[in-house]
Amino acid sequence: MGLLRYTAFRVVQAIPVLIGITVITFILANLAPGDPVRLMLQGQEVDQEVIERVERQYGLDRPLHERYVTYMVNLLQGDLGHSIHRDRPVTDLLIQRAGPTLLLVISAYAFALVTAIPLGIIAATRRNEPTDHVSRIVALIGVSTPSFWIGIMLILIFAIQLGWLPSSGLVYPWRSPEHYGYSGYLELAFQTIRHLLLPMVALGTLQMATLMRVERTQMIESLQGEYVKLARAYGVPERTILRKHAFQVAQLPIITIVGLNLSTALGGAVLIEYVFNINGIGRLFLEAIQSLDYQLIMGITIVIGTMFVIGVIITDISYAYIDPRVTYGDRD
Amino acid sequence: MDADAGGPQEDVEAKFGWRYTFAKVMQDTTARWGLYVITVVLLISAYTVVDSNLSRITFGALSDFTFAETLPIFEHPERIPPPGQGEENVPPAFHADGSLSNPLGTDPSGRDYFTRIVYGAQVSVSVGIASTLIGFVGGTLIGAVSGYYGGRVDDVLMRMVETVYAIPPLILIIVFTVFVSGGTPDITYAIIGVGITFIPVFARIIRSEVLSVREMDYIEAAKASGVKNRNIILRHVIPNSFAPVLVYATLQIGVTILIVAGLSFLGYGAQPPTPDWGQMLNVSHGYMHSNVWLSIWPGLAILITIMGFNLFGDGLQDALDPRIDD
Amino acid sequence: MSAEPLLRVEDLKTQFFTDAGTVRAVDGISFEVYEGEIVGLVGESGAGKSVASMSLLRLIESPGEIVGGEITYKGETIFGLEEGPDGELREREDMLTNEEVRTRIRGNEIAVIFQDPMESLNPVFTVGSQLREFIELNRDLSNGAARQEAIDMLREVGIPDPEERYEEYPHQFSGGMRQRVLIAMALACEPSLIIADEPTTALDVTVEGQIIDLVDELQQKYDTSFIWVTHDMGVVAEICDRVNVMYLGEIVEQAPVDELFYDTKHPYTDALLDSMPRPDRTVEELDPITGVMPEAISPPSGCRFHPRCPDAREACKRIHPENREVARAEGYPHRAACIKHDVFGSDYEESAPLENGAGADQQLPASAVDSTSTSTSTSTSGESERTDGGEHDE
Repeated sequence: MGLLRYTAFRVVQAIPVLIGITVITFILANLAPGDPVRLMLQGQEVDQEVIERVERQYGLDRPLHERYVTYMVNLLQGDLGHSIHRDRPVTDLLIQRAGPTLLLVISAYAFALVTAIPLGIIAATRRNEPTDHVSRIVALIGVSTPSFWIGIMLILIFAIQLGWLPSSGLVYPWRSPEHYGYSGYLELAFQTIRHLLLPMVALGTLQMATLMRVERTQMIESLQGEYVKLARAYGVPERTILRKHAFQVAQLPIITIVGLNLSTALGGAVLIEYVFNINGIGRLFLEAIQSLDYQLIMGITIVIGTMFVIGVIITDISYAYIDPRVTYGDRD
Repeated sequence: MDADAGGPQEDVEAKFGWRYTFAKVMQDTTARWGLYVITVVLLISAYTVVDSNLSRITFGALSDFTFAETLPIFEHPERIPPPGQGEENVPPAFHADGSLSNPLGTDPSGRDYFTRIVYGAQVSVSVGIASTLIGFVGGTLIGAVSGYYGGRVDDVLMRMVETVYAIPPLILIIVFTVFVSGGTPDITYAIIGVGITFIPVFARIIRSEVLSVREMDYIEAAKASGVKNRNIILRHVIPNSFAPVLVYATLQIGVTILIVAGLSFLGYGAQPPTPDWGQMLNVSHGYMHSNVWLSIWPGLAILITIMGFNLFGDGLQDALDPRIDD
Repeated sequence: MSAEPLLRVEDLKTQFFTDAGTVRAVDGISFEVYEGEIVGLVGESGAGKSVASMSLLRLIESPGEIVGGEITYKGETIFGLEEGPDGELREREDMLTNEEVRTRIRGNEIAVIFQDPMESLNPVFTVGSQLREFIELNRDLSNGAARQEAIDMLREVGIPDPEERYEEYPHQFSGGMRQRVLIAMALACEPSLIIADEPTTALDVTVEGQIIDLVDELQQKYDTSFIWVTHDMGVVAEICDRVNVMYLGEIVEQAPVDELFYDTKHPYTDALLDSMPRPDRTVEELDPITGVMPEAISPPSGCRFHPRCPDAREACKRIHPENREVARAEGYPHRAACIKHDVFGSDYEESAPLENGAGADQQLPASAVDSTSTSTSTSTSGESERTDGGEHDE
């Protein structure tokens, strides 16, 4: 099976999961005791007639399975329903808020990878030396600290105490400098980074720590491999062994971890966007929850679940691309 | 090289079983430290009681309260110092304006912060253990059934597991908590939500263990002698697949505490006045400029507790996984 | 044997410093390898064969260390110590540096073939690129020439369609094919000596035969010397010119292969030969060695083999024999480390026999049984029985 067919195969495999996500979301949203309209009104006194009219308008008077089918038909056309609360299509709201979240998550990953891999390798090569111990302690603290607290501490230190960096909001590089009143693209870029720095570190620390631990273990294991022994016996310089022979093998599990951790990162984005006042999907989710805007909640949950599934598929495919041993599904 | 050290004579004794594992774990420095931290946190959360004057902490054994009364802290919010008892926003003791009577200062409602932090251990640990237990039991059952029967049952269950896995836990739990509670979130819903969300994680591990155990001779023997499937799963398959899941459960308690802290921080976990660490951080978020300390202590408490579980879990893993040895 | 040997190893000692104590993995072995010959290094697993062979390339990893002896290769000192002015041992002036060993010895002078062809090749690189990398590193060849050489070498070791297989990954090769790749790798670097560390152990018997034939053929063609590390006396008989038998870090017997088989001088070698399946004997006649090899961390006193030796006597517990020349054959010495030979001038003849494993009953006078206390084994039948615990104490 070629890579293309493998990709198709993985996408088809993901379909039941994607359907499952919609089912779970739909069931959860309809678990709520009482009808959604009354719930949304949160105890306000409204005429029974008004409620019934709203229900009819949004099809809420029909049985659950019928509503699910309608929802799915619309979903396949890219329509995630209508936010009753905001009186806007859910799809529009999501597209509007997706940019900041993607910017945050991607930069957090970049930060994590750029720091974790070198640190993990250094720890592995200086195993049981002070450098190794220090980096292991750092990694341990990293996996044990809530990301939102890291965010709070960063704000306390760099925004409040030192006043170096802003404590809330983002500057979007896709907007024009004029929008912010900046002198040019250079300042736009500078401000983008300034605003991004703290939330990126806050969200990326957990990923960094996790990846660093995996990298260390993988490198240690890889360096003990017979192929490393063979390379040494043939006079390959230690640096080449580290950078080429051991490194290549050790990277494979990292790819998988990156994909699976997307779930933690997307969940973490909710907290970080809250702490740093970033108008992304995470904040939108919290706002939707607050107002019990259940169409919007369903839309966000489905989109985030889909993002995760797509992320995993991408990592699976790149794994298959890098590791020659993957037989693309048909085992021998 | 054929490491000449480990000759065939080395320790012919069985390298498994609880006692061996425990001994091996205790040899590991990190695991030992993890165990110390966990023990201290557990002792604090199990025995701490705030006396009825609401200002001092006593150890449960010395107080008038019975053990049973002290454990589920969130049912007794009235024991926590109520607002207006003392001066508000007192800085910690080492600060010039601080005093030893409030070692960590007081919160914006004038409650002693140290008392609340210590009390918070009870909430975090009991919530962490309770929800891990739900995930553990649920995951064990699903994983065992899935792995044992295989085929279509396995396919359907695993797709379900993957689905739950695909939605970030925090988001799934908030949705669950809010909708199931009908808009009034509460720590009980949070516990159930977290537990259900982590069922897939356990189910996967148990399943892969069961798949290997299933092929063992004694399972075949049990089947051949006509033991019922249910009994095979409960008496043979599950007990023999247990060890790795236990390691995972320990690590999972840490993860759970982390998630619950996040939930409470956003206002969907423990509700005031329950002194949950995450909830305290939520309150202190509004006082970041005026009272820095309020944001520091609960976070440190979370960090230390989770680190304890992580250290212990790491040690367990090293002890049970022979792949990398020092 | 007038010529200078290619490789001379003298009193080599390699130890591992572990928490449990010092493991004397290689404890003073000496042997030579001459040009164009295949020298066997035989023994049970844990005898220190692999450590010895890795020591020759100075590829001992921490906590292991070469602590004594001398390794001379083509007149160059791979390892050598001398006494410094302060009385401490230090590395000799003329000893090659790590860098020199890496660039001048490893690969281009001494190449290796490892035991496990499945694990020895890097799974994420093509077989060809790995081969080419080693060739480029060890020979003055351009990129293109190295590639051609790699393909030629793959053909030479009997891999069909070498051009195509050059682009394939290790997992696409069978175990036997991978071992051929490793052999190609070793030969392609044009070394004078190849260390083959149990190269056929992981293979099927039929494949093993093919590989041995291949090596035999190529060895004659290229006239490369081999150190063949194995635990299999059958392989030794087939391929080796001279043999060193190792037991617990020491060489206990050293002789040309025919001499070793037909005029065995050490009881351990005898035991090894008896435990080997042979076409001229039935399974019932197989005679396994009793007991297990003690650990190198706490070797028995005296002769290290005495707790398992059918010929052991009381003197064997006291005297630790070195490897002495007991005969000469084909111009080479036949050395053995056993005090039953006259050259040792010990009181072996006079001392009381020890009760040990197989066949002991025939030699033991009834009274002697009581006087020997070392063995707790009561095995007097001809069957193998694990002699346990007691006799392995320090």
